[in-house]
Amino acid sequence: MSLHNIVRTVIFSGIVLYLAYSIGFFDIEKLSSGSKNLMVFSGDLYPPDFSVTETLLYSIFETIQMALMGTVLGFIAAFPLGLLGARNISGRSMSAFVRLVLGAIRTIPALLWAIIFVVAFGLGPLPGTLGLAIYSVGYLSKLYYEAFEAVDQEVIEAVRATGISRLKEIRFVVIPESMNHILSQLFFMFEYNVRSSAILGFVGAGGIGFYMINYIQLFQYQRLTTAILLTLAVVLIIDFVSARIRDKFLTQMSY
Amino acid sequence: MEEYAVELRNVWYSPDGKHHTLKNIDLKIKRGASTALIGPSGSGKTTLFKIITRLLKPDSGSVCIRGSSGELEKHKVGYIPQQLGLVRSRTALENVLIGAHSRIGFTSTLLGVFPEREVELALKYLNMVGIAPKADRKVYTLSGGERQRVAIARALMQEPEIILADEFVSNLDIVTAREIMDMMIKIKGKDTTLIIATHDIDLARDYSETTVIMKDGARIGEISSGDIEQDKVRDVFT
Repeated sequence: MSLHNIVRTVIFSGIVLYLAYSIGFFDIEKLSSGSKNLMVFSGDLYPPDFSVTETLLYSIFETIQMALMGTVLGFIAAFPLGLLGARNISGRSMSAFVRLVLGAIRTIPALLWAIIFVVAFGLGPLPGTLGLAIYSVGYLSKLYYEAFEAVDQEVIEAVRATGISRLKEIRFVVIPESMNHILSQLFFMFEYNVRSSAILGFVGAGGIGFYMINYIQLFQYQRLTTAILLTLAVVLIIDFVSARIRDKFLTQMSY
Repeated sequence: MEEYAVELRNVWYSPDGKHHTLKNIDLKIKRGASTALIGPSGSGKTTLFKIITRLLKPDSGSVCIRGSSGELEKHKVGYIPQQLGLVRSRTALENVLIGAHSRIGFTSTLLGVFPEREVELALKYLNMVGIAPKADRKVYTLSGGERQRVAIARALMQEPEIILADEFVSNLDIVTAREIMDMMIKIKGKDTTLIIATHDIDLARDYSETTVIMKDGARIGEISSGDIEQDKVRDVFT
């Protein structure tokens, strides 16, 4: 290892150690009392209280509804915005403007969007869905314009040379060539939104998160365990189903 | 009718404003002729093709296609790039139909349904290049030679007056490459101008009447393809 590398390693390690120290990782007393509390908390979580299963099933259905609607609404807006944000389709100035707006949307996390919409629309699944939708727009659009820009330039040029219009180029080249990415990122967004919508309930935006935060505040940890297990089961099922759909519809097109 | 299909005068092009990939190109290609552009990688062949198809605008000089320097009817020039530029996720037939788009309105094809006449024409060209039975196969499932044929059929579908083929058989074994070139010469119309870019001296000799030699973005000579000799052209590649 050269001296230059050693110096770099020492500096990097120093920064990491300083950050760890300032956060409190070397406060042994705090760490040991925290660990004890965690053990007590873990003990309180067991056994799960399944008496609330029926109520929670309704609320998790609401969570999935929110995630699905949020993803669909997000997709409807993200798709054209992705096209407008792709430099190879809409040109540099338009794409720069769209990217700026999308960047601003992404800066605000879904939870904060949900709070904003709870203030505007009141409690329930509607503000949560809108929060997820707008957050999905920010992310999906970014993933989409990157996918559109990744379309082989030679394919675009070959087709442009035939005198095809820009709209047809999008319809017959850009969309088919990036369909794998479009679908796979849509599934990813849905999975993400299911997890995310569980949290949104914390701020009164509907779904299972509303019950989770209530159980925490009322120290009903055994019921919380049931809610967590249900969420886990749903997430696993969705992961499994979307993996199957991906395998069925997405093709390996390289040659 | 104009004598020259392609006429370039003092064409300069630079992608970044600093380094010129085309330097003062003068080129005249007769209507109906088969011409080879020969030169090593980086000699400017592809850039020259993109100038002819108007995918790129020259920094200076004039480009005259079919006697006109005005807005080009793009479909009159069929362009087959090196990697073919096929839409991999679509079928051979759908790719060939792309060549018909300049004749069809947007709304009539929005749902992917094409006029019967165009589908029949596309199948005719697929038949002509010998892969009509695989018309419904997705392009990514076809072999290299089959994809070459789809790209040719797409170019023919434009009913072009000029066909530009950029090193498009260079990835194939020599037997298949010659098969494709034989077919290309056979099916191109008498009045269709064919320009092939290649670094294969044998292909240039056997499939063109005139060979234009390029190096470092400049046109350094033009000879009758029958007179092309390995020794004389070899210098260009060193």
